[in-house]
Amino acid sequence: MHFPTHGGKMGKLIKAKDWDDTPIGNPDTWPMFLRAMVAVMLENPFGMCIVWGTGYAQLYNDGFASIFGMGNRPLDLGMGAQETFSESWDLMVPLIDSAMTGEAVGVLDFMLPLSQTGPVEERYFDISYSPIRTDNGQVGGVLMTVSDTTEKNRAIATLKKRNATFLDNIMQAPVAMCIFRGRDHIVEIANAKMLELWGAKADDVMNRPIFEGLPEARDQGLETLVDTVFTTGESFVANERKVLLPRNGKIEATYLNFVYEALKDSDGTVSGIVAIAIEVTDQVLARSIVEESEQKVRAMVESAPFPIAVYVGEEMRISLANESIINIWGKGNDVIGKSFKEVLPELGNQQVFEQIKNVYKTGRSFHTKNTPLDLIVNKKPYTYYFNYSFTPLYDIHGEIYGVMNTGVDLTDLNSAKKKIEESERRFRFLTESIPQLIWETDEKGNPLFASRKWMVYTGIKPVGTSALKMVVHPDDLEMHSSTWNESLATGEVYNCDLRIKDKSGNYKWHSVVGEPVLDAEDRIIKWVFAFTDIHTERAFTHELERLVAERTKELSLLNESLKKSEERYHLMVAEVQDYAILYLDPNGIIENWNMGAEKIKGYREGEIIGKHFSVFYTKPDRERDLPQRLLDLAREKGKALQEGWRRRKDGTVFWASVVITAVHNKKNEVIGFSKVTHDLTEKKKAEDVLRSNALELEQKNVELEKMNKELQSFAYISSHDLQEPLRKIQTFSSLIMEREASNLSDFGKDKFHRMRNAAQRMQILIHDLLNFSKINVQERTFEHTDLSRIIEEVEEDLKEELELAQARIIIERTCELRVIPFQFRQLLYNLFSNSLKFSNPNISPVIRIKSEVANGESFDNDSLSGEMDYCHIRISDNGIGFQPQYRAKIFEVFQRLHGRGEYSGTGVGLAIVKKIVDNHHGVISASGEPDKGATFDIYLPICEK
Amino acid sequence: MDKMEFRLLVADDDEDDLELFNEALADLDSSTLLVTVRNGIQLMEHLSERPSGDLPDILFLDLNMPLKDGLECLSEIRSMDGLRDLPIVIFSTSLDMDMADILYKKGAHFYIQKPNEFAALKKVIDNSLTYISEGNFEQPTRDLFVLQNQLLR
Repeated sequence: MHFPTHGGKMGKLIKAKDWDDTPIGNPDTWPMFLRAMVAVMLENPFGMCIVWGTGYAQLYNDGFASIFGMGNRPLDLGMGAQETFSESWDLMVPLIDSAMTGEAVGVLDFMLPLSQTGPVEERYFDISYSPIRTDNGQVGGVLMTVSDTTEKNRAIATLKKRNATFLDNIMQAPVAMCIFRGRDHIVEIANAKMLELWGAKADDVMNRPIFEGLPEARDQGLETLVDTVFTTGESFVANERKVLLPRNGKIEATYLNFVYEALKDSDGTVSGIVAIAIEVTDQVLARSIVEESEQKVRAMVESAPFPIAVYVGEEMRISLANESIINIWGKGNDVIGKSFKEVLPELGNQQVFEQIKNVYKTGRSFHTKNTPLDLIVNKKPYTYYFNYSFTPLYDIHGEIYGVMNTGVDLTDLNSAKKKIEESERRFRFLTESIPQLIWETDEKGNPLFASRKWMVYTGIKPVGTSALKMVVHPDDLEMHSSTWNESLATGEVYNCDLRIKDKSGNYKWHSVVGEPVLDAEDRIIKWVFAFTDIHTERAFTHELERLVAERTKELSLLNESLKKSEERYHLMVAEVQDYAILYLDPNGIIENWNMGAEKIKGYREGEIIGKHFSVFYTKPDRERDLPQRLLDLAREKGKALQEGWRRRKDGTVFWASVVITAVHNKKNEVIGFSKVTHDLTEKKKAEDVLRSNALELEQKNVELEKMNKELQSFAYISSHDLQEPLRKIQTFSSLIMEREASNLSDFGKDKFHRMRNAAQRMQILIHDLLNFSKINVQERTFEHTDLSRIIEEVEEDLKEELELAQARIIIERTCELRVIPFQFRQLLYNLFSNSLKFSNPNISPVIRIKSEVANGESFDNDSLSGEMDYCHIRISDNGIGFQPQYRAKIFEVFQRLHGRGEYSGTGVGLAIVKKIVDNHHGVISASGEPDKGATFDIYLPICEK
Repeated sequence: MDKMEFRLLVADDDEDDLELFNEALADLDSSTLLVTVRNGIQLMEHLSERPSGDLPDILFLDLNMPLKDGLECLSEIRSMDGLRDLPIVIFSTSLDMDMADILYKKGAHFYIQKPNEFAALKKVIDNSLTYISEGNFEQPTRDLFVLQNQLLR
């Protein structure tokens, strides 16, 4: 076996090793391929290892030994690989086994836990397993080529971790961040802030090119920016860049600070862009508002038509001066920043500097008026007149930092005054060249001047206020005075036709016009009167006027009487207290108000006139436009009536009856509305009470009906279920009496008999009660019935009893009645039974019955109405009668006047009678005396039909 | 005429009344055969099972019975062949005039309020037997239809 000379340390060791005792045997006996592979292995710098035979005895080179730290352990040579790689054998063996079947296998970045170099650690390898064949072609072993990739794998893991941290940082960043990837700037990552800034949803933009996902950002130059960053790799920084972005469903201008930074791979190529952005819209807008307002103030000062300047500090440095003051100074435009003293040295002896200094020191403003100042303007001296002020200016700390100078240049005004004087002279000269007489007064009417022609005509000079009166015709004086006083008071032009006396005492008509002369501030400074001779025209018109005046007087008399009647009417309306009477213009505006309106609605005339009448309406009424609808109705139909709630001034409401009437002019156009409102609150309240009472009554009726139903069911139970046991008691006891009487003692028979009687009484009681309750609930059908027929029927029913008692019924008078027949039959039955029961045992009973119809007033009974006719039925007997004090009590249910031993009965019979009479809306009364019989008077109202 | 044997059928759910009825019959010297049923269903079954020659001579029918009341039974019986002429005495605790009209129209022979007195009970049964013994199967006139418990007048 030939071992290469450059076989390294392991080459030497392999060569030196005594292989005879190993499973591989003496190298000279190794198959050809094994020997070749060992030679190749030993000369190879990569880590290689051969495992041979069934025990996988190992041979390896220096590279392999250094990777696995086996250099120090030559004993591993020839040992089974399983021992060396005990920790990772399970991982390795499937691959080796696979190669042993003749298949070469390669794995990359294969993790093996190893402990050869110290504690167990995870390491990564690229490993290939190639079969090595024996001379007969079978696989005898495997060549492992190993390359350690642990470092590379660790680097990748670190990178991944960093990447994750990086993404996490972006997502968590307090500013908007995102990554665009690739040439199309696909949004790879965008944090919530960035989405918010874009005004976009994640679904719309993520993993899409940004300008597709956010089309609003297109065409604002941003495409070029990101393209440039992507191509050049240079970052881009923007400050307060205006970008249009969607905000609340609209596109709005936003201002952004942002940075585009290229993302470079390790080789320096750009693969994407990181964008970081902060929205500064609010700040930018706020600042622009401040700037704008500052700009406005500055512009205002600059363009102010009066002079403004600001002097700062003790040295009075000009920090602001507007055009107006610069022009006045006449020192050129380059004054800002210079000292006021230097710019205007000519003010040095005119106290101005002292005044400014004083304001600066004391903080007290300085004002002066119409003060002359000598200035050198454009190198020429001028005298100016100013109203000017120096005002202190305070900084935010409250300290004076300068003085503001404002002023009004009065120079032009002063020179104007001189001009007026000049023109005055010219005017007076003029007065002499015109035909009119001219007369002047001061603003109060004192004569100032009269033209020469005036003095020639009148022969007098204007002296004192009476000068004019002396020449005016006495009849015209009054008109003159009132007109003149009016003009003096109002400043209006005086215009009168007056007769003016000439110096020879003749009056001639003059048209006199007096005009006020105003100064620059619109104050009257004097009056100029011009007298024009109009005598010829006037003499004619005067006569005409006299005629017209006469006619006018007649007319005015007529008017007066009309006016008086209207006034009377107004006065009347105004005084009406119970009705609010107002007049509305066509739009519903209140024009007129009376006392009633004030009383009802609470507004005074002064505060309501001119308002719309809808103020009287409640909010809901106003909302449904009721006021306008009523006006429309009145306009259409002439009148609108309504009742409803209205509001007083104090917010309370009242129930109003309102009539709105349209008022028309001669052309039948609506010129307004009269509105009359009546307060019906009390009436309404009364009606409401009535209504609620009716409701209550209805409620009670319902309850009563319910009670009746209950009673009916009680009636059924008593009619059947209660009677049954009673019947049994009686039947059984009668059976006993019949069959067992002989077995009972007399005492037993007596008690037995009384027991039966008690049961019988109870049965009768139930029967009577049942009848009593039926009277209420039974159907009530009124029929015209002949009283005598009912009497006959009852007589027939009581035939046996009547015969037994030898009683007679005497019918004296009967009539036809409108009654519920079976109830009335019951009534008579009960009364007749009553008479028979309480008959006098010594005489045979006689029952008399008679009836008549008469007005309620003719009967001796207070319960009857005088407006009605009644049928009066009287039933009287000759029985035992009763004490008069019981006349009411006998009609109460269960009331008995006698002991049960004397007279049987349940005390229900007369109660039924009373109830039947009630059902007929009638009245019943009883009268009687002991042993003198009883009389029952029944009064039934007769209703027409 | 020899006393013949009457076949009586009583429909009533009340044990007491049945017993009283039996007692009353015992006191009468008529020869009777009494069959009792306790409700309307039993009654109708009993009647429909009988051959036509084996029908009762008279039926005493209580109105207020469980399962099927007397009024229903009356209607059914009157609609059955061979039973149209069966004398039916309505035997009831309560007396209601509206009900009387209905019962008369439906073809009952008498409407009797169960009497309080044992003697009265015997009398109404005896009268009924006499009525049928006279071979009279016609419905009586309306004014004779109701036999009220005299006590209550």
